Amino acid sequence: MKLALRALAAGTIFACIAPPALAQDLGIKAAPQTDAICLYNASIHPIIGDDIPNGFIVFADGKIVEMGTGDSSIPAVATADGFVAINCEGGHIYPGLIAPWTQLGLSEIQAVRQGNDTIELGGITPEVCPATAVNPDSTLLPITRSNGVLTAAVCAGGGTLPGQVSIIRLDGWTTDDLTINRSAGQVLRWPNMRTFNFPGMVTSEEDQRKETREAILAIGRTFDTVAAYRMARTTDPTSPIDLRWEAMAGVVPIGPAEGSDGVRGDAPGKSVFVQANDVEQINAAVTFGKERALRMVIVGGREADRCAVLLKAEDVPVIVMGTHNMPGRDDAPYDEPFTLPARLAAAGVRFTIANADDTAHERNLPYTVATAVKHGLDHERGLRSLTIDAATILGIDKAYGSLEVGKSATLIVTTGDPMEVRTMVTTAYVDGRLIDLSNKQTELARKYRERLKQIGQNPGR
Amino acid sequence: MTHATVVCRDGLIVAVLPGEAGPDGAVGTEDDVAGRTPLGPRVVHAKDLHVYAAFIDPYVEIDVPAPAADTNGRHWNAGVTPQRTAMDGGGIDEATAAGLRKLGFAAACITPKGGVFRGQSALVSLAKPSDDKSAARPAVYRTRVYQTVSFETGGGYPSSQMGAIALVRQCLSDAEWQWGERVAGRRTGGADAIDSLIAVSAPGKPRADGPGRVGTPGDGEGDIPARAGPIVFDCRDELTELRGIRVAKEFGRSFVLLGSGVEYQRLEGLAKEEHLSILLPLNFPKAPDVGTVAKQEATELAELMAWEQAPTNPSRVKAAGIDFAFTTARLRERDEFRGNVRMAIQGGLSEADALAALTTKPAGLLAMAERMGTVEVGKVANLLVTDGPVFDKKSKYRSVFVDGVEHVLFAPPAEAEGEWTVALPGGAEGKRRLEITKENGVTVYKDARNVKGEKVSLDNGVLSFTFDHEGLDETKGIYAMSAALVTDHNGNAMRLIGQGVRPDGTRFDWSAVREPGGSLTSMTGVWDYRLVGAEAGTNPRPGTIEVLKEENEKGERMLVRTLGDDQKVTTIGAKNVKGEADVLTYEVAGGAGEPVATVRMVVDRNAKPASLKGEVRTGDAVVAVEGVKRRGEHSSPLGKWRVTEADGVIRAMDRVDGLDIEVKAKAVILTFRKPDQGLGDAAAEPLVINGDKVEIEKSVLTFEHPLELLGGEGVSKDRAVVEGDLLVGISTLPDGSTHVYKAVRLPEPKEDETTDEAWRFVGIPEALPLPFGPYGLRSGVHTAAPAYTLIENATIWTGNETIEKGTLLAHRGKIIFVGTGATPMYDDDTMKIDAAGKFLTAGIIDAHSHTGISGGVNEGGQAVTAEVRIADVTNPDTVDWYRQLASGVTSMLALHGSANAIGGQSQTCKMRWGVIDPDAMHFEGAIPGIKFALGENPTGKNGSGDNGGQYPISRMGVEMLIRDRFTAAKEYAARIATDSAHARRDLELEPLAEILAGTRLIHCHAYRQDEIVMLCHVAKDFGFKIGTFQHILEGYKVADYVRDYSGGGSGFADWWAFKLEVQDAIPAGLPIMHEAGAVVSFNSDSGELARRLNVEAAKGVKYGGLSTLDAWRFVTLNPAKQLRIDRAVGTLEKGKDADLALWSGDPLSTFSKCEATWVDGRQLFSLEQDAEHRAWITAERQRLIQKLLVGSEKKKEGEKGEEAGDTPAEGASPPGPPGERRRRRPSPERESDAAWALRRHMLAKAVGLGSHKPGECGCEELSEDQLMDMAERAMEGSR
Repeated sequence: MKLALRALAAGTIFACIAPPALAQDLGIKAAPQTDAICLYNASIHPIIGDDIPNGFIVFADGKIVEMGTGDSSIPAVATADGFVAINCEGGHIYPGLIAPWTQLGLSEIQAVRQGNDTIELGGITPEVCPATAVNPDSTLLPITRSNGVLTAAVCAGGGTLPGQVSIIRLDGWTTDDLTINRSAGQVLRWPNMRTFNFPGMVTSEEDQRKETREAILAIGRTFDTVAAYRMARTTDPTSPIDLRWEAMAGVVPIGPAEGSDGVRGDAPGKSVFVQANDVEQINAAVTFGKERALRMVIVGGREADRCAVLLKAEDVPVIVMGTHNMPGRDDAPYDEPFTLPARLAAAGVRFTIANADDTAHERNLPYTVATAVKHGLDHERGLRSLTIDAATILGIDKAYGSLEVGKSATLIVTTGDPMEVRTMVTTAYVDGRLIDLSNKQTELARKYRERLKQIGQNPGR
Repeated sequence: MTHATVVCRDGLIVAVLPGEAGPDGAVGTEDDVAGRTPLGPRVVHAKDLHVYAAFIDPYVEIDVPAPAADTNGRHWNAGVTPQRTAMDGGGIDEATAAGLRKLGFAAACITPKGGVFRGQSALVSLAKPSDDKSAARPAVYRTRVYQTVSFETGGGYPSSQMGAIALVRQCLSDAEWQWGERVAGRRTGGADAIDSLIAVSAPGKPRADGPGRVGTPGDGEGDIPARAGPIVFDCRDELTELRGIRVAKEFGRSFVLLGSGVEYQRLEGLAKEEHLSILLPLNFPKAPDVGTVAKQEATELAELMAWEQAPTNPSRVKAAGIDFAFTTARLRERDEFRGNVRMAIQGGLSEADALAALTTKPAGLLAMAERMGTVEVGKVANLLVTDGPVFDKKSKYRSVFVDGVEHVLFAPPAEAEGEWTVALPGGAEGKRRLEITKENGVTVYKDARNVKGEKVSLDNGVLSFTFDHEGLDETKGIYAMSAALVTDHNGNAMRLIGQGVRPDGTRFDWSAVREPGGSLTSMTGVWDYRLVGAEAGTNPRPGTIEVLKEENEKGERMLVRTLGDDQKVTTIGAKNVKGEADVLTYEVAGGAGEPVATVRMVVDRNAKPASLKGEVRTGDAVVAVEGVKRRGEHSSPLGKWRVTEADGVIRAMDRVDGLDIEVKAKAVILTFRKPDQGLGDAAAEPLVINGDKVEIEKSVLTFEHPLELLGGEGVSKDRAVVEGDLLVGISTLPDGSTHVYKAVRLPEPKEDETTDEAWRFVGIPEALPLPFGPYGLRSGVHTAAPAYTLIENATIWTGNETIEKGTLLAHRGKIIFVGTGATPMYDDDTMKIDAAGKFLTAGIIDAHSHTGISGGVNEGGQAVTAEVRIADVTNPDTVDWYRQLASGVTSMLALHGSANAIGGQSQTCKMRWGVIDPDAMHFEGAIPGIKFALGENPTGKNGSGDNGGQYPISRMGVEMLIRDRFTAAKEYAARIATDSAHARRDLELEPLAEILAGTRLIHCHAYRQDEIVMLCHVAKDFGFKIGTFQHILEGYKVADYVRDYSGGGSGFADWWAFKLEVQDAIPAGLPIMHEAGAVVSFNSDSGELARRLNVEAAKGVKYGGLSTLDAWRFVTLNPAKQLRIDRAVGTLEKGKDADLALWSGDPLSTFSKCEATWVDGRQLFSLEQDAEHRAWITAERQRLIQKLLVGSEKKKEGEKGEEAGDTPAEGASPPGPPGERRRRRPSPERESDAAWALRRHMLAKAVGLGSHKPGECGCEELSEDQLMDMAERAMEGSR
């Protein structure tokens, strides 16, 4: 065993990721980390802390135990028994990238209804939890992680309170294996507050405003009901259980409306992820959340820079729904969606950028961020968006989002900046487990190159 | 002509006479009173009224039944009903006619609603049909005036504008062919729908009945119905207007456009068309609501600009030399018409042109100029009578005469004020006099006694009152009286006819006639007068008199007293005052030794203000007197006045209207130009006289001014009295002579003008950007194209090699040098760019796009739509062009969608942002193409499941459909080859025959390997080569087929899994095909993805192991090859087009930005230009938003101060009950492109489709209904 490992250690990083014979959806999931692993001869980008130009990183039992600088030879620490030392040959090591808003595992092929589990019936279904329904053998998971996206928030979609946000790792045999945090918070879809008026509209603008008012009141009533329910359950544990309100316990504080210090007694542990784009939606949602002492995250935020003062004052972060969008109006600058993150950064608002594209294209997340960098966002902020800022907003920053001793060994080895398309992800570890980067697509390419070879056509590489 | 008389008989004008018809004050004849004209003419007294030729609306849509399904000769397409005529149904309904009459129309050209070829119009009278069923119906002046054609869609084929155009084209082609066949005797069947489209000018036309005349069946010419007059194209926007023109000209048809109201947005393009005529709507958009931050956010600049500019459309169209007539078509509410005509005049149209557009122009366009449009002998007696100038806001339209019959629109409320002589039958009770005051007080006089009437009412023209007869004689009790008022045209009661009841219950008839002159009341009041041409010292002097009535027990008497300048009574010196019949006489005693002056003045109480004229006799001397009556209120002299009439010194100036008087609290300023200074000569500085000793006492102004500049000497003392908007001044010169002048109040400066929308017209930009809206090229800003463009020190990717520190020189759109070393020749007219550190490449080419296609990307109405052409509907104005230029894209292939197996013809375009002619976007010499589609989309698998009942629903059926059509095309080609003269042209098979001939390329949407192989077999069997496979996601599985049977594959870099047939798509797919030797390109199929094709190219390196050069060629040279435009574009080589993109760094890097883009050597995007655009947009948005916000305040004030408004006249349609408001879904083709795009945009926003994704955009475009449903669901869901 040891000999074999040593042989492996002597090999290069490319040798050790020779793909298995099968596409990943039929393939073998990664085994738990057994030996301590040392990756050396790499530029390490820990995100928290300075870059380590010629460094090594050691992890065991899925956790980072040591990082340091050295030369291109195996560091002393990794020569001990039980270590596998891997030469990264000048590659780059980053934390695994985090997709902050996806429906990975809940939807396989958009147009095929049978594979879609993103929405439950009813406008208020806070009890439903995506972690329950993520398909571990979805072909999308290996495709996504092959480009370095190793962790993702999976979100319920649908009505006003459609369900929860679950955080998963993109490799595992079962849903339990995949789940990092079953419930990171609740999704709240804020009502549209901008009236529409165009030929064919049935509902008058006045009626639309009325509907909006009623919808906002209904949200308030729901949160009040949850608070009352929790109070009732606290004072009288025999009062009947309601699964909907139980599911919201973590986001709604109870106790007197305001304590003596002006803050409610039990601050919520989980966030309400409020989908809001327009100025007035964001204003209303943040005000709503402040009144009820909620922990808020704005999701969407198309006009968030115009509410920056409020968002900064209330320390409400934003999950920007992508940059590869069209500007809101014809007269808007062509790069309006591209520059939004830079504008938020300049205003001091915390944010992370979601890919906000079809689920199948989540692997392009780093390029979505790169577009923001191209249009003015600080490169460092771009990397943080993909890692620690996403982790913080999703509440998994204690273990993920940066390379620090004690944190999860969820990391990627690349040939360069992950935001550049031509950069290859050569190796990836999730909690110290070596992940298979091959997938259905790499296998299909291999398969049909073989056909060309068989019929004597140019077989390519 | 003033005081003229128009005589009509039997619906025609028989005489137009100058001068007045009857004696002053005469109001009608006996016949008039009875309302019958048994013998002589009925005289309508229109004193003080204006008479115009009534208006003609050249386009009024009406419902006309569709031809029954079993009618012989019905066209296969339900939208093609050219045989319909507007008279097939009930004609125009009375409610519509009444609504038009109210606006001054007496005739309308009605045309059937709905469809593509809608049918023949008819010019009809708008007379109200008689209730008498046996009476003649209102006249039909002319039938078959024109054939209305629209590019309307909905309900099957056509479902897109390009489909509608194709249908129009085929029908017109069929009509030509069919006529030829009939003339040649090869077609002998009964008439069919298409026969109605045979042009009047069709060759071989055997009969010349004149336009629109119906041929008699069986007259030897076969049963061919009337041949068509001109075509009126119903065009929803300015681009559609150009399309209509093109189709009409293609078939040599005479045509008129039903305009869009947005002609101004592309006037230069329309004005190129000689002899263009437009039926111009006045559909000005509502003011956008920018009252909240959210509303401002949601408002497009183009919307704001359109709101501001729309009212200038008529004046701009006029200035462009285009002929036009107004129509009420396209108005939200027809009642907006009058206000909008006024707005068009405010927008710069002359009143004469506006009037012509309502009268002579429509008459001319409808070929009725000889019978309508003017008030002339022999013309139809269609007249409009108004009580003021026709375009004045305050003018009321009194009557419209239709065919000589009056239709009263507004009858002023009856006024009975005055004195009456009552006639009682038998004379038993003696003569009475009746005085009715303005407040409807009634006084009954008998001899010197009088009693007040009680219970007086004047309602609906009936006067009722009671009076106590005891006051008049011994009879005790109360009389009850009532009488109907017979009034003249101005509402003045001329006669009372009624009944009375005596206290004893006996009844009697009575009548009363007005005292010819009126009453004492007409004289009472304060009068300012002057003596005309009197010598100084005449008695009486110019001044003010007050005429009073004094009542006492004996009755009443009149007093005249003179008022001093302080309005206080100076004398009561008048004696022997008599007032009768509007004639006032009195005597004034002179001072010591002065003779008595006798004054006689006649009151003209209908003048405004009431005036008097008369004379003063002093012994033998007679001096003329003039005066005006003051109103009760005092009008302020403050403000600006323009002198309109003057005598004396001022008259000496030829042009008195050049004299303006500005009155301020302490100053009077006179400005004028001398006669030798042209009035319109703005360069000439006006002369200014400053008045002094200015005093204003209520409505009286006094001041002095030097006379020198006016050509006199000394100082004039002026005294002026203001009455409302009229000022009458008397100037007393040093020699004592007096001169009178009249002036009218000039409008207050704009900011105080609250009663109309003048504020809207302040600061309207004259020059408009092209395209109209944001990022348009503005005159003199971005339109310059230097002769040379020189880019130096760039890293140049030529597409063949990399040149470090390279130089590129372009001259007149072509590259003349690429390389290093020798300095190429150029001159001063050169754009020089130092591109050190930057990368220069050929512009990107996108081989799959749906950008810039108007009115629907898919013609999905049939499984085969090879006849439709993207080229017909190129929209050069969509901002997506600009955004893609900002990303380095310079050419593209605009493709039909994939809704059907054989789709429409594609169009290769160059992104020439800012062109006038939409066709200028088309890539010259590019080989024609056509879209085919295989797989899920054309079989409708992602919809209902049965493809709407349309074959095919399986991949098996797709093959057979394609084979069937190619078989037909082969036969067609053979037929054309052997008998081109007589073969019917089939626009669907023609392009398929071109494919077989190798002159047209198929661009085939394909996903799975089986269908790719299938089409390869078809191509092999029919002997042609496929142009490209599009998407071709499984092409890597059969790369050898793609290579051997087609020009290659064009697809996404890494898109997949959005539907079942793309589950095996892989990002290495296209690179594998490249390895196998196929020409391969990456494309966008999305306006959003097109913005980063350079980065998509990098994915070929990442997933396919391509070299940098090969990857870059995937978005430049390879698509150029596939589109057969590589001789001109795709690489940077000498002689090729200067289509360039300049990048901040390595073009394949995600961090590199496109900094500038050139097409044909013209820089159409640069970061600097973009910054200028943005600054302009911000400024323009704010200007317009502020205008709207300030304006809406003004409007509110104006509405407050405005009169109650026009009295609703006949025909006003009451608002429907709320329950009747139905959901309206206008088909997108009935809206303007801009409105349509806006709606789609908003729907998409509501649905949450922030942007279209590849594979969704054109290829699987959602229908309007689907979007609408989704939007509404989304909005429900969000609440």
